[in-house]
Amino acid sequence: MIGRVKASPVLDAMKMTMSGDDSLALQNVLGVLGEGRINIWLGVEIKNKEDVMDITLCFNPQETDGVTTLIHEHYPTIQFSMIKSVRIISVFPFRDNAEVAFRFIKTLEDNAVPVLVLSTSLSSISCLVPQEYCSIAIESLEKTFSLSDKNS
Amino acid sequence: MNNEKIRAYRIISHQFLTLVRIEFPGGSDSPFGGIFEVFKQRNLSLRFLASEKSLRGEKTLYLGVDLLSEETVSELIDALREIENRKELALISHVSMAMLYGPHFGEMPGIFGLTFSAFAGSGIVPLAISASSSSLSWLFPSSQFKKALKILHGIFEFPKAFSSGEENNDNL
Repeated sequence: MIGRVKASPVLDAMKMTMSGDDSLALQNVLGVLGEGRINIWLGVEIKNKEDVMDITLCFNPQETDGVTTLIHEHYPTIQFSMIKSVRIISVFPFRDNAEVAFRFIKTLEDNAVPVLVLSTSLSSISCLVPQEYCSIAIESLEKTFSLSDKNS
Repeated sequence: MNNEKIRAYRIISHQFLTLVRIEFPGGSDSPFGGIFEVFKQRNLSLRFLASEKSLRGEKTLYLGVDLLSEETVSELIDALREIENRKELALISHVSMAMLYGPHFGEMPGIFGLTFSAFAGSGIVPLAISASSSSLSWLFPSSQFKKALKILHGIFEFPKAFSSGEENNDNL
């Protein structure tokens, strides 16, 4: 039974691609962000078949200038792109349930909501969507999971 | 951060998973609904799920399920081959997962980097990571599982009832 749909505040996202052989680069980037006290709301890293790491990190928009400055100063060769104004939409609980995952993603696809990142945690399934799709994502998910009260 | 252990509320681990990796080319529709329907129809529990989009627009989807029999692998491959626009499909056995829960993690900047650094320093490069404000999850080759758990127990402290990785294997 689904209990809640929740949206994060508006965040910014940084996307990076790095060689899987060079874990030191990601280690250093995360280290620099940690030293800068940057709070990461969502972080996903996946290695693809070519052993390339695709990484997405989300943080408060107030920290975007600080993040880009830190990266430029310490690692000017790292390629990244910033996606402004995104939100994390989560459905609770998830409990490893494939049917919840199916209904979650099918609802977003049926409503043409672009999913930038998808991840699960102990209790939730979450996606990262552009801010302008947040309302339709929440409304459609609440409808799918028959939730009358809105959460934000 | 100092050298004191960080409190975590729970660790959940799965030592033997089958990882399903599906990649899609940039610019194509990625019908994830059809993929999840395949798993739903077979009543498979999704122990790990993450999807990323590269800077070039290519998408990669990771799904970790309990270790599958050869027969189920074969049947699953046949079903997933029908997925449109797919570029790559791979089923990888003997993958492990560890997940830490701590509702206060969001107030501790640097925790993501700290754990990644500890793994990398021991030669462990996770296949995938998922971090939120209350949990951290990693996928490893099973050969690195025990080493990874030891590292986590070196960084984090847990309530005594949950001090062992084996005791925390569950199906929450």
